[in-house]
Amino acid sequence: MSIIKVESVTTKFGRNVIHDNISFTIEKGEIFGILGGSGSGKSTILREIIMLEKVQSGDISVLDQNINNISLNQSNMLKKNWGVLFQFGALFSSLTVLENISVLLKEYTTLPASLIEDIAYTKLKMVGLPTKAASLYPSELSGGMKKRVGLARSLAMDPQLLFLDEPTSGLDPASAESFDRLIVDLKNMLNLTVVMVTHDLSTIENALDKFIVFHDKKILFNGDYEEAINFDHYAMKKFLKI
Amino acid sequence: MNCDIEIKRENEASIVLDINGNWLKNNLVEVSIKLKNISSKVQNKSVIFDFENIKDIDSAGIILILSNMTTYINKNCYVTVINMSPDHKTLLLFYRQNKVSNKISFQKEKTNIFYRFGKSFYNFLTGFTQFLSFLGENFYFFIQTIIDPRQIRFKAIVKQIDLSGIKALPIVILTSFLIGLVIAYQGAEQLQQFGANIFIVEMVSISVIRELAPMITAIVIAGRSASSFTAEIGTMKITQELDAMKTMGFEPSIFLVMPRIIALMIALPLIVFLADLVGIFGGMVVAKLQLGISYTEFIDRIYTEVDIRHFFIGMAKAPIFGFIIALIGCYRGFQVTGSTDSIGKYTTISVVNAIFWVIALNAIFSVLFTQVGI
Repeated sequence: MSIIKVESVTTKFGRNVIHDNISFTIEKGEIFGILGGSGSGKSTILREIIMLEKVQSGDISVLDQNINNISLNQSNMLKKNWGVLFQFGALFSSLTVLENISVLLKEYTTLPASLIEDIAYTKLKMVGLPTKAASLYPSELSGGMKKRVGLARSLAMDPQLLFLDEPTSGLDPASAESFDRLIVDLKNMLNLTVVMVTHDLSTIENALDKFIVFHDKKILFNGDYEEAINFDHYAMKKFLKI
Repeated sequence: MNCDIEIKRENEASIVLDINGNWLKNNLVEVSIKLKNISSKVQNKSVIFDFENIKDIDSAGIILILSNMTTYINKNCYVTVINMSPDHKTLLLFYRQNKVSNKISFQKEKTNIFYRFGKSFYNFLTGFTQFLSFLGENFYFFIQTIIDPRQIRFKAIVKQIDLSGIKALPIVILTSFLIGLVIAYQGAEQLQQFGANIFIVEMVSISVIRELAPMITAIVIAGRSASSFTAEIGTMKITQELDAMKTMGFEPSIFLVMPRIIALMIALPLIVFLADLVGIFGGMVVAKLQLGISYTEFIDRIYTEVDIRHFFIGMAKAPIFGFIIALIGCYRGFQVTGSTDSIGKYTTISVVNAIFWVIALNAIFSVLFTQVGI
């Protein structure tokens, strides 16, 4: 069952064409990677899917809803089905870690404060952060911790879809690996569908079920890692360093 | 779509709780109260959670049940779970594994008035020494650029004159016109009663060129430029642009602070001159409409009766105001740390400081010059 469908999307910034008529689908329950060199438009397509950028031409549907012609109400409902982790965490700097995680629950549910606190603490531990981090402010956190808090925040509402923008960039190899494992574990445990933009080779090898590779405004490759290493194209070989 | 919890069976030794419906975060409020009520009946009993009739459950539902389980266990209960589907069981185990029992307190330590007073006095002192060292650092680099004038950033100075001087002209012109207008209008009422219409000229001219035009201009520029200096430099600090500059040997003092200070010291006297003209023109318009004094009459009387020293005193204050505005704006920018809300905080402080010092200095000069007799 496909959860996201991208059909013949074309994107231009001024005269600069980013995507030239691209299509792909993402199935429920997979960890899907969007790969490509710098400036190949991988973050742009992610921003189009999560409705931060308008789709210029073509169709994108998420959870069987076409996001091109969607009412404000529908789009607010749809947005509750997903969580987004931005590249640098994008935590609210005036709120503590615990407040950052519980802000959605406070806004959208009527749960008692003590239960919200319990949930926030659980999510904090789930992403591998110590309890004492709860009272810190984002400016007091390291880059890796910010990402983990961002992940905890994106999981706060139990979304079925998780979008990650370069989740392991800027992390040391050990942290990156444990972050990958965390994503895979969470996906299996919580029945998530994960869409991530990445160019971390170990993530590509260890975490992704399927991925697409952008090259020259088109999708060069769509498949899994086994297929990718046997794929005969110079750009692909350069990209995977094989 | 609702969820509920009922006591299925109950005796002295055990209690069976029937968990049914959708335990999702949107409808947990009532059951959380029910669970709390049940906790009064469970002392020393064996509590069995029966999940036979559950439809769906999410993290909030599970964590609610888990935290109540902990409460029950603390009441010397023996808790068991029956009829749970494997999926739900993995979730339960997963969240139990991640349950945090030792929460930390967010309460700030209580302080008494002496502590707070001492702390703010200490902060004031350290702030003052920091400001002095900022001033000293910039003075050092100022001397250095005078010795070696090639280091002066002329392009940056011109750009800053454009941004904080020329772009401010419309608002300065409008404000000083209105000030001249209001002074003349209110003065005309009073002077007419004595038949001393012509004195409107001295009143408007001296008050505008000596006090009002420099001060109002400086306040407008403080509001515009002190804030933008702080926000610009503060953002550069957060994005590590300042660090990048330092590693390249570009001294922020020479590249950022000095162009801004010099630009305002050049621009402000020029703007004040324009504000003088516009302010007097405002007065002239009222004098003509209200008191029937013609423009030529007005200007002739300025030549004969208004001493040129008033103009020079006003102009002399302008570069000093420019200096203090740019200095405060830049200094507060360098104080920004870490988070985005500190930009807002220091921008506010910078504008308030700059306007305060403009008014305070103006008052000091006013007394000083009058005492000296000029």
